[in-house]
Amino acid sequence: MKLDINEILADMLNAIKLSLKDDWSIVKKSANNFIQSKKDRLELLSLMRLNGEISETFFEKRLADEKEILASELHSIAIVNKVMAQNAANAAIKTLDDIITKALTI
Amino acid sequence: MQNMKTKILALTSCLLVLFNSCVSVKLVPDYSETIENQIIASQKQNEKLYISLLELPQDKRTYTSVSQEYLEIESNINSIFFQYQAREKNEDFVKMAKLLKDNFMQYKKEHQDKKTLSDSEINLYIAYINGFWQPLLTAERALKNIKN
Repeated sequence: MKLDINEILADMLNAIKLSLKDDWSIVKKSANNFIQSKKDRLELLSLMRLNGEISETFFEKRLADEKEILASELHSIAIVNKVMAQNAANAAIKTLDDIITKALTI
Repeated sequence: MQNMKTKILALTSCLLVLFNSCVSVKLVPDYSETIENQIIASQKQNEKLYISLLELPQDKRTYTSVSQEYLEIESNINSIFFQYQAREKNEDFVKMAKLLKDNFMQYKKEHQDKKTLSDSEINLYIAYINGFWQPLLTAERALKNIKN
């Protein structure tokens, strides 16, 4: 039984790269959705304030809510990133596991 | 000799199975279809509350006219919060649910205090409360992408 450490590391790195490539589009899509919603909300809020449809107090309160929405969005993005990291780490572990299993059965 | 080799292979296989079950990274909870459906249903109920207010003449848009709907949505948010707390690796989910709950309660209080709401205020409440629902749904759906 002979194991080439450099080859193993290269295979593990490749598994991580493939996993990240698959998941990256989900992170990007989620962030873009949040940005678009924020843009729509702020446009609506500004327009209603400029037209005098809402009070200054109401406007200030909603503006303050944006900070809390951002906090929630960042938690959500953190989860999307953690899923990506979990997938990448487990893909690397599986690659290592497969290599060892193959080496032991030769 | 052959017998010894078989025993070693069997032992190695057992160790590999053990390795597989122990050495896997877990950073997030497992996906729950029940929670995803509850988020979708509760967000819809929350939006319906405000849309139904838009249907009423402004002087009829009192808190008491929709107090039952507020209570039902609050109960659903509490249920989602409770289910999040019961899961492992739940920190981000619990914080998001807390932000949703706090702001829902704030909007409910503003309605109680103001007696009635204008069309513009209702439309902004819809936009802002959805801003708190969206991260929850995005996060739960991200869990569908877990590969094991």
